[in-house]
Amino acid sequence: MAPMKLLSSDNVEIEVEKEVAERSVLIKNMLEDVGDTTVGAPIPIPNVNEGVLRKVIEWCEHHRNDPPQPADEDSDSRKKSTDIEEWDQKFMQVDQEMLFEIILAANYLDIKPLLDVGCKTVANMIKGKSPEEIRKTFNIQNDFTPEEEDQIRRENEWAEDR
Amino acid sequence: MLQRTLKRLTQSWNRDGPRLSAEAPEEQNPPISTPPPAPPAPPATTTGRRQYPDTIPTQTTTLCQPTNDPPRDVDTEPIVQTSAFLALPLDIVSLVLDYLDLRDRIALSLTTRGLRHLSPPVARTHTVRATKAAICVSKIYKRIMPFKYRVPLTYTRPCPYCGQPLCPPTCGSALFLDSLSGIFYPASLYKTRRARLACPRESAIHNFSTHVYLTIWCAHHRCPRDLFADTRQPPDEDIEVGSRLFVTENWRWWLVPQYYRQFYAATWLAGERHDYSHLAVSRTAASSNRKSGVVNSATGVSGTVGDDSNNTGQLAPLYERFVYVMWCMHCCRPLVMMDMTSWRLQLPFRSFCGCNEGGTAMPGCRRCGVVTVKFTAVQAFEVFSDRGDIDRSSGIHPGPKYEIPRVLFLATECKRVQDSRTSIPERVRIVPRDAAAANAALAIVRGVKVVMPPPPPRLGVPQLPYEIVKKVMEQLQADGGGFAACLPAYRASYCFLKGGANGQPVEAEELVELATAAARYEYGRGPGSGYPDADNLTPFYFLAQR
Repeated sequence: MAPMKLLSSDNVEIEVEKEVAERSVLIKNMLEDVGDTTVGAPIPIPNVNEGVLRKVIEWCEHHRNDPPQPADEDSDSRKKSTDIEEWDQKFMQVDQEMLFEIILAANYLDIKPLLDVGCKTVANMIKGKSPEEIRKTFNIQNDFTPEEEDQIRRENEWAEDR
Repeated sequence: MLQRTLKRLTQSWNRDGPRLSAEAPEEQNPPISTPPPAPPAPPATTTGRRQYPDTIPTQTTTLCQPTNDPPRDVDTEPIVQTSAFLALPLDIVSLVLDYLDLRDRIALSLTTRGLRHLSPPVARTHTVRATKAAICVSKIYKRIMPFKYRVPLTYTRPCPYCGQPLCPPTCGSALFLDSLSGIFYPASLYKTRRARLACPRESAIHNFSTHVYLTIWCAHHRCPRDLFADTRQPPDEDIEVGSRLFVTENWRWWLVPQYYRQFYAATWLAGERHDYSHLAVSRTAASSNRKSGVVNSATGVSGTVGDDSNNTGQLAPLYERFVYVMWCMHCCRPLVMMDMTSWRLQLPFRSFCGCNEGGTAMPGCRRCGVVTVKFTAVQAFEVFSDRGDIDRSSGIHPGPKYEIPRVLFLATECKRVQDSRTSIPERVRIVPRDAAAANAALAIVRGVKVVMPPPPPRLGVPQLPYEIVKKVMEQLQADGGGFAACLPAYRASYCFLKGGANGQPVEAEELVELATAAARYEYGRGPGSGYPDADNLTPFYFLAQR
């Protein structure tokens, strides 16, 4: 496969096979627009730094032969299993900052399967936890006052147990 | 063309800054500080994704109005959220929400004001459908944010069985002894707001639709383990106390030994406890101490017979049986599952979840969800026997013996956890949702201090491939130990059973075989009633029946 180059936001050129890079719909559309770039200038990816871009490329290389997602597979059909393949699970074992960067990069580059894996990973970090545990997980400060908590209780008290 | 595209990308970067969500400009999105009560699905973009405001606002919601309560000491400084999660664009957060159920969305909405709009208050409505949904939401809120009970902080009523003061239902460690089933439930699995303490002599006429509990055991009160030691007749035979009340009020439970035999699950090693069987504990002393309400500060249970300070016995393994049952969190009842007959759970439960009356494929309430509940048979009381033989050589009566276990059941809410290690055979485990609370509840119902086995290593026998586990078992048998050598392994971990079955799940019937074989071995009944001689049992005898 013909190689091509991507330019990260910190101006690092990364060589990648075209087939791998085309896992990104953004890049794929761009290549279709501009034609052959294998000998041209690197494609700038201005929103993704080198470390994140390398991780994204690693994911794309591993999934290069995956069948394309059906076009009509959207939120309803995608629901709701949070099962993640073993390899992807290991791939997502990174610190939270990197995890969110990967998700943002997948969103920007329009790599829907990677975006789904990232969102599933975050969802799994939330599932079954209490608000306090979620706060600890994501370093969220509790900004509710006791009065506000009481009000929330009252708002939801009217529906009686049956 | 390429140059134009690159220029467009660069312009976009310069205009939008470091924000990665490039779907919609901020000004096109409505402010999130005043979310609608029931937010409609946002319009889809050309890529099929929904549009949301770019980031989660902090401290902008006006949902929670200040009340007339006196203000408390709070910092007037605004809290600055530094969480990376809150910096995610809302279109990403909405994708995450797609994978969360209602309970998790509500929990997330209660972490910070900026996320409250994820679960706005449910408007009062008169339509039946909406009311059902509102009830579910209300139940979830009550589970996540326990309400303050409008009951006095202390009960004036004592425990009907031991006479000690009861804690209120708000006690953090309260376990409710359900009058219908003889099962101790933690507050999370019980309709505590609607449940009420049984009136004397009420438990025999149960109302199946209402939860009625007979007593509360907690870290501060637990009936003594020797409750059944006191067989004295009360002066007035119409007044029943202690164990007599326990038995006569709850005659159904005294089918519990019968349940216990029908409790078709193997027994598992829970730890070690002191063996009291050889102790000559005076029944009189025991019953006189019982009324004193002594509480062992270490175990939080009444200290008479089970008090370790008196103990000189050796440690003996403690085996307990348990099964897992799917539980509806809406009606707090078990789901009718195919494997219910493995425990004959119809007997203690009597009523089952009917929340799926709408004909949905999955049983249980789809909004409130279902959880896995572990029911553990715990020996809660020990009964002295008068049949201790006098030692003819010394003429000394060995004292009362502990003979008849009185078993009650403890319900523990569990969750599924997935091990990320790919090399281990079992990656999904069912563990207590709150391990510390589960251990505390077990300690309360057991009433004796149990020496827990050391924590398992990160890589141990359960993480070995099943072929290797089977070889270990075969080696154990080859060394001449036979069934006797393998039984402790079977009781120690399910992985040995499954290893013996070549990694296949062990069916309930096979567990019955194991339990029967183990009982035959332990009680030495030997051959003659359709089962092979215990000594000749192979470790895989019961698995070979498959």
